[in-house]
Amino acid sequence: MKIVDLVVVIVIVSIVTGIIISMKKQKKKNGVGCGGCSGCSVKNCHDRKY
Amino acid sequence: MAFVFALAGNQNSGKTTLFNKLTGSNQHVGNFPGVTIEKKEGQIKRQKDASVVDLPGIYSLSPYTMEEVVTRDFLLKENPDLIINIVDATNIERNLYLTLQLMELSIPMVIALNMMDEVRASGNSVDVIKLSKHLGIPVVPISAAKNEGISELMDVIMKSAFEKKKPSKLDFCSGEVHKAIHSISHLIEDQAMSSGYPIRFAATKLVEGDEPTIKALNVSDSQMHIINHVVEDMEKSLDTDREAALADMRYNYIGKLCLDSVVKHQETNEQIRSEKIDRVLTHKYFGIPIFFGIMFFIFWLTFSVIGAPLQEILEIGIGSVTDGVAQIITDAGVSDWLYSLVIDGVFAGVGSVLSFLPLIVILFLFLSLLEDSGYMARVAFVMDKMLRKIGLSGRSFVPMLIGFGCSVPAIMATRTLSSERDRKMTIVLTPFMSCSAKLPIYGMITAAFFPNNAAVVMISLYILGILVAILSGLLLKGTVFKGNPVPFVMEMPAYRIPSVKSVLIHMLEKAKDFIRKAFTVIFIASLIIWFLQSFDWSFNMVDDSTNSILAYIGSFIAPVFKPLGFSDWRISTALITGLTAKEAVVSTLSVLTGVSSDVQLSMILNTMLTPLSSFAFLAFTLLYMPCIAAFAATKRELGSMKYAILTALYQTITAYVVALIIYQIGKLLFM
Repeated sequence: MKIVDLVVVIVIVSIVTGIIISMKKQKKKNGVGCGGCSGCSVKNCHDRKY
Repeated sequence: MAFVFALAGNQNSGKTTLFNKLTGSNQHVGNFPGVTIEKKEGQIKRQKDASVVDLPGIYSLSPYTMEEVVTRDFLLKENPDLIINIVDATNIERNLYLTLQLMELSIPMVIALNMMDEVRASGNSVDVIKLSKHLGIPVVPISAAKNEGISELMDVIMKSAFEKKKPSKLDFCSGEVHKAIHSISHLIEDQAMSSGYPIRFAATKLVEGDEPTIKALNVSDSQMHIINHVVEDMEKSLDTDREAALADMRYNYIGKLCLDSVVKHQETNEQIRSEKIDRVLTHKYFGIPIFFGIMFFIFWLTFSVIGAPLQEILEIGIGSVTDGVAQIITDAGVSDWLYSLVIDGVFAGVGSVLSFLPLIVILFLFLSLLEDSGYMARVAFVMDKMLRKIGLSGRSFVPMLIGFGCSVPAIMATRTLSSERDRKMTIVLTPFMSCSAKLPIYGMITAAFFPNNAAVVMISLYILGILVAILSGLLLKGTVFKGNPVPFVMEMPAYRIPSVKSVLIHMLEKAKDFIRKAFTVIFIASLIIWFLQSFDWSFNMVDDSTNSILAYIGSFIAPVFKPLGFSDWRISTALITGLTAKEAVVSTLSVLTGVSSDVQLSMILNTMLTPLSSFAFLAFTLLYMPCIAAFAATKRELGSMKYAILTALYQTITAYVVALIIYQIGKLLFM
């Protein structure tokens, strides 16, 4: 594998890992039923304690 | 002699303040058996033999909410010596609604007319003597917060308790409601007396169709037949349903009462303006058409006038960034497969979804303007009648309204519904409301097939969602969810000009959420789609995606959709990936076709679909099971995986049937 390919792969894997971690955090914060994507207004969801 | 007084009133009418003034520091907190709602009981100051029970705040005596059940059970079963009805004088009309119901219990009663200091401060007044004369019960003006009138109130309470004087007036009605209540009173008089139910209260409750009263009075089938006949006659004559007829009767009486005894010099400009606007916007016949008209106007502005040019600008920007990155990685000499992953996978997938950002932001700008102005509360009110016909109350409109944004918080918002039946039914029907994640799909298809009629297609999809919910409601009401909806009481906020700050915050939040979703779920979904469409089962990279893993899976499912007019494997694949997030339908089609710009995608879509099959496809995407996050929310709220799966199946079958009808009938008509 070329070095430049390795760098791009590392960047992509890091981004994906970051995304998964942040989605898990979001999910933990909002509780069951939340997909972690924040596609719904999290503030709305969280503040009203649904 | 020991007295027990019940303190009853609306929420926020100052009940607890009065309770504390009456009892000092002697109160203790206890629980009613079986429910979690607290009641407070305390010894009255300087009255050794008198205690007061602070009941939960309620708006009516119908046993729909836990608060109402607790209060009603206490008043009917514990036989208090007197009811202290606390009435908020600044909101007297609404508070007296409960008063009229409490009077029907035929228990000695005193009205504590609270917040009189505020009434005086605004230059208004209440003629307490007239009010007392009309109602036939003592009325004492007080200000619990300022400790005004408390000792006078105590004197009147003790005097009334000793005299055991019951409310002298019980009849507030005339006409058809009067006839119905009195006919039923005669019919059930003996049963009411033997079961310890006040006759007037029992008759009114039977008009309402109140189940606990029917059981408590042991009403026979033949009596029930007569009662239903009487009530149906009343409903027919008044052209309204039973709850509305009783509410009208009570509010008519309250209106006359207040006209004679309440002086309001200062009706605020907001109130005057709101009443004028409400005469039009909540009109019996025009209310719903006006709502659809406003929504059509918003869609037209969003998709044709403002949104489309902004979307084009953003697409140019995304195109430039994609070209720039493509140039950089080409210059860096990355391998072809990695180039394809970054440009055809990530940039095509995320970029195609991201280009719909202006549409989302503008639509939510208008929706937040409607919400902040106070109009959406009116929509809930005008929708109440329609929703009741399908077996739901106007209260269910609130989660459904949230469903236009996202099904996840909408399904969670059903927790605010007091009836379990209404809640479950709302959970099943809410995903039929078109959520914002589906907008990019609509945008993509309308741009390809209906560029000149985008707003018409949009509004027709929203209406289709509502219509399917109505038909489903009717079907479910008669089968799975039998029963009556809970009546809807809602305070209308005054119309006001929305604050720029609040609207901007709402808009920015929606934009932030959308961008975040594009760079999380859509990003990962695009990578997976790219992988599955670039490799075969032996994990060798393919030149033609028709030999890929995804093509195999898609082709396996595609025949199912043939009767609906979309048998291309890429379309069926997009529907599956749409289960992760609905926007993924757009990103999947972009990745599978290898294009990110709307124009190129439109051209390719025209080879896969016809205008008719594209509309059937839109109807299917609108109605089929929601994304996985909404499914998880459904499972949690219904408390069972089995019911969640059944709900998803029901939604998908409904989507299939509707799309099939659209395509097959359309074919007969247009081809």
